[in-house]
Amino acid sequence: MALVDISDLTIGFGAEATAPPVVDGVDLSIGKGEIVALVGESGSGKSMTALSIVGLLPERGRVRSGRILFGGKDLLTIGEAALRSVRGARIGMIFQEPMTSLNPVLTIGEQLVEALIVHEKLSKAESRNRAIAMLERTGIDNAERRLRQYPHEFSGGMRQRVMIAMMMALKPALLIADEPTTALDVTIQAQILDLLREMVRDLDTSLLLITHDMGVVAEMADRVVVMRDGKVVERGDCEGVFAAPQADYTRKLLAAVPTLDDPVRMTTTTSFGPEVLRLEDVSRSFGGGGFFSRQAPLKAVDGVTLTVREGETLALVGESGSGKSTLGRLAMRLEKPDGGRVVVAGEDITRLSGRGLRRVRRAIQMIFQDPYASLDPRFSIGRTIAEPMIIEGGASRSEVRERVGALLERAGLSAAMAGRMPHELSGGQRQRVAIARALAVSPRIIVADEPTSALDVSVQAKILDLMIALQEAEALAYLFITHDLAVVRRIAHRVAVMRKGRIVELGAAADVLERPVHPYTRSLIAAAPVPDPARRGERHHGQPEAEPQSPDMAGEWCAVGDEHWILA
Amino acid sequence: MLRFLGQRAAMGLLTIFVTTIAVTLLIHLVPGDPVEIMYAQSQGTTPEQLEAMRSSLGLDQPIPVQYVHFLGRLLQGDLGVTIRGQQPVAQLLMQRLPNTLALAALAMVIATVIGMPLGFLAAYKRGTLIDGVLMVTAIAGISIPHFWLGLLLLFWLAVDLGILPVAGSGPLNIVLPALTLGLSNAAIVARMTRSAMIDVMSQDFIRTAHAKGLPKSKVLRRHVLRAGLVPVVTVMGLQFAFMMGGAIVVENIFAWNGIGRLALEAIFQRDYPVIQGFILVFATTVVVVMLALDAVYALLDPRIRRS
Repeated sequence: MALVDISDLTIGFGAEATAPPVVDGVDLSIGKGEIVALVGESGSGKSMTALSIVGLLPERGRVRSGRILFGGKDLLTIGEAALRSVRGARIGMIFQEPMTSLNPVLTIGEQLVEALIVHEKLSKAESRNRAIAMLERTGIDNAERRLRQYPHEFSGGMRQRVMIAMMMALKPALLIADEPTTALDVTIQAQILDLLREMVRDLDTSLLLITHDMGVVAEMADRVVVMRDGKVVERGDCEGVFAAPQADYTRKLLAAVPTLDDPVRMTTTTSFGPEVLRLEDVSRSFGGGGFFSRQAPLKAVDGVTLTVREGETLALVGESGSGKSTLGRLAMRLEKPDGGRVVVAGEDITRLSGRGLRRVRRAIQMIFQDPYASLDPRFSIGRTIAEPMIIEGGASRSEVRERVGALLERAGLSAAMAGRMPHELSGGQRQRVAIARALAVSPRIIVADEPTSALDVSVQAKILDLMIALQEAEALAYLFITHDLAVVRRIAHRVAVMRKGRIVELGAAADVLERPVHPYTRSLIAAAPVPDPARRGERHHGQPEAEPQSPDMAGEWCAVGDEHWILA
Repeated sequence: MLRFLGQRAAMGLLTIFVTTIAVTLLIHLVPGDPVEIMYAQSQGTTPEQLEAMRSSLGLDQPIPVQYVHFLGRLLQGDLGVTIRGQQPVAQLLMQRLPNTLALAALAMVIATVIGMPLGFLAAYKRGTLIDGVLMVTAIAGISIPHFWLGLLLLFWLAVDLGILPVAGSGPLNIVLPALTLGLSNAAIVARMTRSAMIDVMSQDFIRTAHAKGLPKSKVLRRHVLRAGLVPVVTVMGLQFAFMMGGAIVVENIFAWNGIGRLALEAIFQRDYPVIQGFILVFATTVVVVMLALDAVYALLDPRIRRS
């Protein structure tokens, strides 16, 4: 008999008559020791399904019908007290955001032992020993000392290890992991996935893994359940679903996933136009030097030199904290460099300010990661796009309206959308609006900071297609900032790999992605999950989280190929 | 943490320093000649008397010189003497300050003891009838001015029931003014606590605590309360400053012998040295209390304590 047997589960928010269900007649079973991946895009109902198992639906969410059998008992009817004794003890759960999922004012130790004391009635000392053992098991050194530390003293990956230790300490029969690695860097993700797999196998725990990432599914799952709009559209064993997807939606989903096996973007021209952006030895530090602080300043960007030519995409790749976003902001002169020069369209903007800077900024525009936060919620779409034109002046009302319509159409939206407000649009549509706004002043180059990271894969693919089409039509240049190597493959002509404020490898996309030379580039590529279960285990990343590294990464540029350099 | 407190202490000193400048300029901000206004109601003052008063207050000197003198005397703890009676101002203020501090402190305790649990309860019962009743009461409490609430309490508890004295300076006499001041602030504390706790209850780590299967009471006590107190404590400092301001009104209603009453008398009599001293003492008290609350804040929030 299956450990968990969910049948005909329907969940809705608010009144049944008016609000359509968010989960609609879902059947799902999880066997003992099995890893089941629940896959879907945002709004598919996958998280609601998982939260309903432990009775932690958001406030207005209600289970309208169905059964959730766990070990033969229906969790929906056993009552709050009985459910609480199951929660944590028999079913553990870890969440997406390791930064906010731990209480900032309690020590890691306090948070680790409390469930042990409540459920297993262990003494303080016993539970403490168990907590230390679990922390060590999840690969945290100095566990005894770290028990006394607070969450803010741990990195994102370390916190997720703490979460895993916390939930596995009670040896639950089922662990629910809701996007456990989505907020983590790719090298950390690989380590956390390995740890999760190892832990559930060792303790014979079943794992319900909720994710949107087909690569993660392929790495982990025994079985796959695909959800869309609250319904299950496909289920089957992992190899089968990847090799021969039955539902149209699954096929589309798999086709939209960019992979490291996709061909590198073909260049139609062998040479690009003139330089539109040149960064010469730019640096930027933060913090330090304050009246009260004795900390050394953090070098976010440390002597970077780059050029981007007309019609070219230079992808800037790196993990969080590598300085890639700061570099993008320096190119825009949203940030003032401490040293070096920024040249946009032939003009040195390093020392410009006020009117002069605003004039040059027309040549360089930016698209941001979060399409929900980067549009003014009180501006209509038309007003958002028209704003740069109005500031520029010289166009009449009807001309502006006409140009807004034309821009919306170029971004793949209809001109009629100008009257809508941002909250009426989906994430993908908003990102198209952001692109239309960037195009409004006819820039030569667009700095795109993780423009597709907040989007579902199918939407991501369309936005990338749009950006490529626009580039080919008007020789736009892109400085494309991302952490996702598969996206890089789709869009980049050249790639710069950044780490700790410096560029460690720079070259043509084909060279860097297929013949990486720098060890860091290699480890990045090795850590990326491959959306193909047949190739599971091919990842060969062995390094621990805190690998030894030269203190200041001093190095010289060496050419390792044609137009291909590394810092060594 | 020491660095954090050091920064706050430096900011506090700066605040007091700016206050000393403001206090020196104060006399000159009042339109007209201060000494003439002072004597406007007394008949038959000779120009020589005015001149003598001017020079005894140092007002015949250029303003920067006045300031240096003022600061010099201040550093020796000398705030000058009252115009009427020639008593040392510092001594007078120090006599009255404990009364005001006792009043404000007791009122703060009343506000916290009543406001925090009710705010917490309202947050826990959010959206229910209890929450609604509590919050309507709180809005009413905030809206009723001190002097009106004070008079109501006075009629009810002192005149009708006769369980508390009407006015004066005995130990029981503090109850009515403290209650007046405390109750209206309890309403503010309750609202602040409620919104802080509701904010915490929707945080991810509360979901984690529930996912661990902790009993609800434990989640509330360990996770919600502690994290929710941090923002409440930060606002408490401002609250205390308002409380000191409110004390001036309340002291006068109940004839409580604090510095607020002294200040009001001084204002009516244009006794500038007393007014100046009062402002300085008031500002210093607020700065010290804020600093103490910063320390509490740092203790509650490990992100500051361990930095």
